Amino acid sequence: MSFVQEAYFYPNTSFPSDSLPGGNSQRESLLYDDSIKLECPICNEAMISLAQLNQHLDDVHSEESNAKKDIILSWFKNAQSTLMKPLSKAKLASLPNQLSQTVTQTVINKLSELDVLDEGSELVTRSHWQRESENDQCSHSNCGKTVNLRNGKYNCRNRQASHDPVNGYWSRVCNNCYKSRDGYLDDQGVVSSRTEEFKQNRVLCTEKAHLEGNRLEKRLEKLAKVYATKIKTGNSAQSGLAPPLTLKHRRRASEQSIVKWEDDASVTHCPLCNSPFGKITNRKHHCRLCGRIIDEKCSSKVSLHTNDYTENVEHDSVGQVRVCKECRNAVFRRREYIEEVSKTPQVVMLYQKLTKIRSAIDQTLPKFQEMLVMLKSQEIVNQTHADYQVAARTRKELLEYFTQFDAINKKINSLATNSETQRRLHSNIYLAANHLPSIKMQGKAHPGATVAEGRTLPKPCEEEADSTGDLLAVIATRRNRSLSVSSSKSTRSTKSTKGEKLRQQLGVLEEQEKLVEEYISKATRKRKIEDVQTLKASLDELRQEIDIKKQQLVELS
Amino acid sequence: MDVVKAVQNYIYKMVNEVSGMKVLLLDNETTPIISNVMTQSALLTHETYLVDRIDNRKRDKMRHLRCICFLRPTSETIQLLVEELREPCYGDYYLYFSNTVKKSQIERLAEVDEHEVVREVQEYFADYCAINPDFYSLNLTYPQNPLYGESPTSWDGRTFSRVLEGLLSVLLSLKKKPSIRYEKMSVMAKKLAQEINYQIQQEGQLFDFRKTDTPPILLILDRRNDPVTPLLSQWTYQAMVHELLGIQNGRVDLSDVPDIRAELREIVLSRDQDSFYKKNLYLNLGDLSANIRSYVQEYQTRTQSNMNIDSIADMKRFVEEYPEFRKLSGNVTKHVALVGELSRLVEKEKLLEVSELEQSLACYEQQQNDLKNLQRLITSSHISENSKIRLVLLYALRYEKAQNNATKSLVELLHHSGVSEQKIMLIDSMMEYAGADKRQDDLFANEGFLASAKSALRGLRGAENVYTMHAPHLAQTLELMIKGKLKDTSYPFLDGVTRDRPQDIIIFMIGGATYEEAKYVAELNASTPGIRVVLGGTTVHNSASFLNEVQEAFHRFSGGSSSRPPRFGQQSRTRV
Ligand SMILES: [Zn+2]
Ligand SMILES: [Zn+2]
Ligand SMILES: [Zn+2]
Ligand SMILES: [Zn+2]
Repeated sequence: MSFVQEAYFYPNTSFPSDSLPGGNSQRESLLYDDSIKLECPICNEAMISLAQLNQHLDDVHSEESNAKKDIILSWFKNAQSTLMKPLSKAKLASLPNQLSQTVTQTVINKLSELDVLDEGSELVTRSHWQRESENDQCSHSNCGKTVNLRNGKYNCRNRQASHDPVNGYWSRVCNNCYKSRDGYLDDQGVVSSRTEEFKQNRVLCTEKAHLEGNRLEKRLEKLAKVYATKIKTGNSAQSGLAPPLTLKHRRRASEQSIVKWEDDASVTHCPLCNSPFGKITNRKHHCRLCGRIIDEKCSSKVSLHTNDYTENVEHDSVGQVRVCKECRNAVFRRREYIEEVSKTPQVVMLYQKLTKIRSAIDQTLPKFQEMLVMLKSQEIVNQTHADYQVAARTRKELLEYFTQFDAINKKINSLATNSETQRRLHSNIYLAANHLPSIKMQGKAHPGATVAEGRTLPKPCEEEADSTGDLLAVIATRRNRSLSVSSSKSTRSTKSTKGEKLRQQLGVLEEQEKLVEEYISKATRKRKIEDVQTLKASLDELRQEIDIKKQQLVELS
Repeated sequence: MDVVKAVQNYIYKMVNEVSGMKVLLLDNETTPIISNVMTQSALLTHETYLVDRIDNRKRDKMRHLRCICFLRPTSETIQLLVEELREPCYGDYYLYFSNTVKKSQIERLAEVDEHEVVREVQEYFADYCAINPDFYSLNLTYPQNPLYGESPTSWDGRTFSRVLEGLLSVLLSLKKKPSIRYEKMSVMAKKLAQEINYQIQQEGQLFDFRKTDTPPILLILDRRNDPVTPLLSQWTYQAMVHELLGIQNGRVDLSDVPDIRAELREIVLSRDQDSFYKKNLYLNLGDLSANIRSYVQEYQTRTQSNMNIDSIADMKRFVEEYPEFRKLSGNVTKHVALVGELSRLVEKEKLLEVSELEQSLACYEQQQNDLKNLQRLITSSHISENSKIRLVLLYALRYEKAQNNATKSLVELLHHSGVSEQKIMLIDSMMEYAGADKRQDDLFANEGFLASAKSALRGLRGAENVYTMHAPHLAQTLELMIKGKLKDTSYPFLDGVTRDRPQDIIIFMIGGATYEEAKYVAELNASTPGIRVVLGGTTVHNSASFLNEVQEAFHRFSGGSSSRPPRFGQQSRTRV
């Protein structure tokens, strides 16, 4: 028996508050089954448990004489045997349900208006709670079961009640009601979102970064212009008028006009990696975009273009400048990232197709199953019947989906990869797809039953049985194939057991081969060309699988 | 109140947030949280095709994948995440933190998310390991997470904040704003209770749940009050595997088992995936062996029937049963190997004999008789050193205040029979840690005048099996609490007293809980409608890990040499 606090509504506003004196101990006694009586053998105080009695004896009676101890000892033995009996459970009467009670907020409001829900009033005395009416109803959440409401004297008839943990009264309710209280069976933990806060912070930062990026891009443009014009003057100076050294100096002056260069003497360590500069070993370089001094390893050269700055297009470059890691990132990284993300690898496209087909299967399959049930229940066996034709079309559709699904999934598994992770990704997609419930569920549609009945049914029914039977055969093949693949992958067993397994798998596959061959010849006889094609495809796959298994067996031995 | 479901639901919520190909990125602390409740194949069905660690710096760039991050917001992990966001490996990022993220951490992450790859930042409070639906652990073990700081009654600072965060997340994941009670004598329990209470007040919004009939109770206990339970040999499946082999995040290392097959070197014990385990984890070795036998028979009949498939119907049935069959065959070998190894160890270390004496020492006052048996076992060459130490510890704890306490002579005897000096030192450490003066309750029920009566009663209680008579002290505490009779003077409320009979109780055991206690709680939940109890602790102890923790702590405090005390084996214990 369980307890919840409930707020009761009393139809007649005259509330007998005089009969609700407080009393803690009484209230507690509500909570226990009174079929077990445990009392202190010395002072007869009621006890809840043996442990409590132990404590009580120590606390209150520890000074008792030795003579009394013997009494206690023998009493203990008796108590032991009594206690070991199972608690008798209060029985729920099963009187018929009367009106289902409704719970409304107004009920609770009215109750509050009555102002009877002060602390003291929720306590009910022993003299009251033992009396019960015949028809006490658990009115919580449409339960309506009649229960023993131990404190139900004043609220037994036509009572409306709702659960109210704050100002309610203790009452006995059935287990269903106990558990159906709001939130009692909630297994969804607290979730707290920080997304908004994060995004607000990010806006501030990215704006700054964008500005910085734009500023650097501008500088890069200017640098490109400087280099472009210098090359021209350089060409004209080839007659010998301007020595190359001057060219370099003049360029440097232009570069420094774009951004002020940091003073050589002021810097002893690279600001990015903190390694010290030396005269020969770790020389100083200036970043042409921010002017800071950095070392070789924290900088790189980028190509300059007059109209575009994609660094890896070499041919229309007007020159190269050294920039630091940070500036390089600020200018190029975002661009590169967007470019990279926009490239869609093949696996993505295949996966999208796979997902599409899967949802198509998920939609069509239950429909088809319904149709089969319907056809069967109405005993429609006539091929020209409209419903039959719809079912046949749906079946064809489904078969088509399965074939496609299988093909794409295989393609994903055989995609070329250049890393172990990619390989794992592809094979995991493949494995998961083979274990999709909709793909696996096939066989379970009405498998054994439909087929077995189909086989034994008299002639007129054969048509229908065949169509489902064939489908199921194909599906069974499919399922088993995926299983055999996954099992051969997931187990690393010793040689002998591996051989054993292979032989078992081979046995199953060969059985299936025969089965499918049978279906093909039947379908050919009936000139179901499309079915024959689908089945043949399955047969080919089966045979391939058989060959592989045979090969593996040979390799093992 | 189901911690496994609570954690699983968080994870499902994460992986279902977006569709498409996903990678799940974890850190060293969230990996065990996930692996306790999830399998790879369950993740696969939610399009999570790759699982990787954020501290793996050699991950491939796969910009076409969406990345679900489930991370603890520690400074180390935030740093790794900062580096990740600077050079994102994947297309989109959905960040789920297992606990509250600091404002400064949010700012730091926002600052580096220049590519604007982050789509979600959420706190999902799955910051603990859920072992059984009613049993959790914070996995804080010595030596990485020492319990004690400056003194044997003060917290290690780092461990304390981890405990605080872990326990808050338990409450949040179960949506409980509890009344807090604690063991009065434990300084550490009181400190934790106060800090939890403070944090709940601080996080008012998070803890704003609908009112319940009676407030849920958070009961904070100290292992010190019951040092006996973790010392006893265990005979129920889950507890026994942990005691003899060690369960780490649902995995058992069998690599030391003689002639073990390669695929059984490490096995997974998962309630979700393994119905045999789920059905048997609380059964004792006897019942378990019977079940294993019928399990094997079932397997054999199935293998035979599929050997002669001669009709299509047969084959169909076989195919139908094939997945079951595969699972079955994998499972049967696993449990046969496991139970086989348990039996071997029991036989080898004469654990039945040891256990009988352990139970007697734990449950009865019969000093002379037990002493004789104890002396006999100490001098026996078949009994392991650890067993001898555990027996003497039990004796020393029970008869600490007895007039004719023979602990000294037993220590002598241990010396004579060649037990290492350092292990013997543990007896003093244990008395320091949990001697009668350190315990608040009358653990052995031998301090009051009705000692013999009570002991007699205890003896009667579970008389059907001499190896499982002992009931953890927790049982008594909980029974009193459920009846509203647990004394305020011993287990005070932090603020306010409620006389209501509690409905939901969350227990946290400082210093580690045990599987024996977990089993008790599971049985209590099953047999007491209307009451829900969830048990947890800093860790899950077996005797070896418990002794290690006590030894380490008290070796340090007794001002002993700086040399490391001897180990009693890892949680997965070393074979003697
Ligand atoms: Zn009395
Ligand atoms: Zn009801
Ligand atoms: Zn540098
Ligand atoms: Zn720069």
